[in-house]
Amino acid sequence: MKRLAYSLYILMAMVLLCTSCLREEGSSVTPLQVVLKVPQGLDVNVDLTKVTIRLQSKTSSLSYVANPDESGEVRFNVQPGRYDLLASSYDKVTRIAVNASHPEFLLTDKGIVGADGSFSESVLEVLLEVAVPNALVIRELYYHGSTTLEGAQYTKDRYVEIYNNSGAGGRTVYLDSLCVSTIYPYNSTTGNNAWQGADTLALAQMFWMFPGNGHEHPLKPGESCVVALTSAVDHSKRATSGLELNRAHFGAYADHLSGHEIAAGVTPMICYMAGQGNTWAVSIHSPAFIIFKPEMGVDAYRADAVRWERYEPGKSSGTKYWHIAKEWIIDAVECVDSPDQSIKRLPSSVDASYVYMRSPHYSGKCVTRVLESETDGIKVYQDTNNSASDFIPDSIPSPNLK
Amino acid sequence: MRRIYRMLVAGAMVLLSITGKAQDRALITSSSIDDYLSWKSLWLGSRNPAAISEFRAVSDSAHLNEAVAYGEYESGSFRSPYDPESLLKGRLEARSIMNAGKAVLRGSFGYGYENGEKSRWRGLNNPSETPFMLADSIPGSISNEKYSMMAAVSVPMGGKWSFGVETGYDVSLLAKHVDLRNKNTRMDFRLAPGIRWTSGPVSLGASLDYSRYTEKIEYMQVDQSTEKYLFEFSGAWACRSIGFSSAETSRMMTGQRIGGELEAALSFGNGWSLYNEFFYGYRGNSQGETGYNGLRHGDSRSAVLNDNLYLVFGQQSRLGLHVSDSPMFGYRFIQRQELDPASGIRRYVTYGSPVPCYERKDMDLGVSYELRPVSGKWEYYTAVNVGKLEEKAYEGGYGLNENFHSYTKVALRVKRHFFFGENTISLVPMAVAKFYGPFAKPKIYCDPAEQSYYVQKTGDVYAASADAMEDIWYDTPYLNAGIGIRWTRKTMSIGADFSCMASEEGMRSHATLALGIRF
Repeated sequence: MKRLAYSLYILMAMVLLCTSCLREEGSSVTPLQVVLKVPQGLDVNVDLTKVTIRLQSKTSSLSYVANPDESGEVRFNVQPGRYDLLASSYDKVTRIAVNASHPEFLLTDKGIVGADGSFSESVLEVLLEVAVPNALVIRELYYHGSTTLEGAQYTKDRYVEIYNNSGAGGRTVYLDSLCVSTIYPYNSTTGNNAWQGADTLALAQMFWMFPGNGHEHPLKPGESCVVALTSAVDHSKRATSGLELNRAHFGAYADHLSGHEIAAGVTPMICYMAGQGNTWAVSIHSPAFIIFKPEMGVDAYRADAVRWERYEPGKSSGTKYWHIAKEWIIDAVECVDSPDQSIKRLPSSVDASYVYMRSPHYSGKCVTRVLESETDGIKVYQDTNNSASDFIPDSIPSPNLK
Repeated sequence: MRRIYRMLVAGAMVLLSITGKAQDRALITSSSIDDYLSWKSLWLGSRNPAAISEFRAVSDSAHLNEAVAYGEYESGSFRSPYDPESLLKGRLEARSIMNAGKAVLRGSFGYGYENGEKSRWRGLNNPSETPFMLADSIPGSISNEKYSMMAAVSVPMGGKWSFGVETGYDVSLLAKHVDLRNKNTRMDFRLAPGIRWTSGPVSLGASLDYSRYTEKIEYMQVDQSTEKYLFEFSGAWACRSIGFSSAETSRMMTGQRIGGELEAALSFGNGWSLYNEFFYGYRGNSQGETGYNGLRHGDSRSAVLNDNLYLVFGQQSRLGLHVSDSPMFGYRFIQRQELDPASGIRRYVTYGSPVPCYERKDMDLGVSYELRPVSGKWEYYTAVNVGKLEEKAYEGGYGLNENFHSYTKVALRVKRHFFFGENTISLVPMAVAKFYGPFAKPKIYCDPAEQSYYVQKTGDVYAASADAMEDIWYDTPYLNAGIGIRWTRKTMSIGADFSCMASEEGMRSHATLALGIRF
């Protein structure tokens, strides 16, 4: 019995020992040094002290913002965690924008975690890129959906408006053979981007091409076209958005997609898809929308499926996704559900940040581009390849319909 | 003269404000067996199962069996954020303690059902157990079905030693019936071995208390016409909100508690004795995904320290001193999904040390005095407690939210038994008053964006409405007054009590009806 008593007392001593280590070793703060690098041979002068560096936490609604010193260095003291890094500056006088971003990384008390799980010094070096304004831009993207007149969720009234932003004296752009799509993963809230770090971008199941022989669908400076993403019909009798997309210029419509509709007079786009489905699945909360054109032409691109169609890394079955080169992207806007808990899918060369809606899903609101100037009645919208400053979230849809 | 004497005694007790754990209710409907046994011997109220052999010494009967049915209703706006606006409860309980040869057996079984209205933020059965919780803000009806069972045995080993073991198993099925709907299934297993040594006036005991519990939390949305939001809490109402369609909607919480209690009693003769029980325990709690993807939402570590010291004198009076302290710490993990080449499945892999994000200190000090004169007509109980609760959620060096609550509670309960032949009627007036605490300091408002020029908020960092409701609940002085009545005839008793908690911020009333049979 005494032995039993001793055993119990020893066990109790162990309990006391256990409780003495309530506090873990981890620290709540760790340093991170960020170094901005200017590309070699750059013929413009960049004032690095005016570049805003934003470190966005992926686990909370906090971000840390700082400007580097003249050498481009800045030091943060933040909680160990998951972050992505965005850097940008825009000089309104010279209209020169520089951007940089670093995809999501893990910052621990032991350093930054590499792809192979090893730890490296907590120093991030990011290369700035100069944003070149495009002639063709996404002026407005309405992806949030609205509600039916009875109050149910409604997503068929969504659209994108593409605008010729070359300004007065600019050139006419032909839409023929240009493509629109969204980048995989469909949603920014996905736990990870399987293709992060890859040299190509995966398209989310399908892409749509503007029809034409090369000179059928011109877009003059200051002109735009509206593409209905699901139903190019009049929604005013169905949904609170009241959008009359029967007056859209183009409609994403294909006979084999039973979820799509098109009204007479709307030009159907040409659908190319991977896998199966009956609707173009554009995220209602976080699409990464792009306009692109394969450099070799769409037919040649599709013919080279061996090179451009791939399974998700690590898989040898399921959907084979079409891939594109980053350089083919003409314009893009990355929308996320919220800055935390989001992955970044687009490279900083096309969008160095992201825009997010504060209004709830199905609010009937959209993201619309910031107007920068207007000359001779032709508007020029801000295009710095930085959607956080280029777009206004929670805007009321105002498509320029036919 | 006797009446004046009693009034003086009662008045003196209020003035002296001596108390144990201040009770907020009349407690007339609490188990008569448990109440009877713990008054007969403090050992029978301890955690040590070896001590139930004390039953043989304090009871004339070879067994005590009891079945009780309860019905309870409470309603009012003055409540904790986790409580529904109104709550209806029903419960059936059976308890027994008996001699079986040399051994003493004790057991109980209970079934309860609760239905609450306008419940919010109730993401866990016991939200104070961990800082991490998935919850929603839409008020709705909630139900909770509970099963509990316990069995214990104590066996004497020689003349001075006794050995006991107790095991228990509790199940709780919590469900909300309005979107977003959480269904929580909790199972709690407990095992507690103990020993006791008695020699003359000295008795010593030691027991271990181990329990393991799991709680599976699943959220679903039935009405898909509107988007609902889930809140991921990480302590002190610090949170982030996520659209339901893109949120992780299920979790598994697992936890273990291990603790030990030491008891010591010394009898001085003439009815004077000292009794002390000291408990120290550790609780580790972890939340992850219900599957096997390795996702960890957060861990908490907490300690529980309790000490209860009683001076028993005249076999009628107990003076108690009570101390409890329970710090808690919360940790997050740094994870990313990686492809497991063996299974082809993406799993979360953890890197670096756990990141501290939450701290809580919960302390209570109390004194109590209970008097049950031999005449059996009157019983008095009074208690005073002071305590504080301090908690902080933070990210890096920046506070997301901080709370500090402190209180002083004074409780008084009097029982008057009237005997009419085989009938006994007991009247139990009671009152609990809560005041500001001695440790009080003003509410700390944390805005990370104001703590450093380079911190910006990209969304709300804590649930302000729930935090404000909790502040009101903890910090508003109140008076809870009530009365209970119980009629007992032979083996049957019927009891009812009613109490009302009144404060500047609102009221909450509570009523109980109980029917008990001893057999």
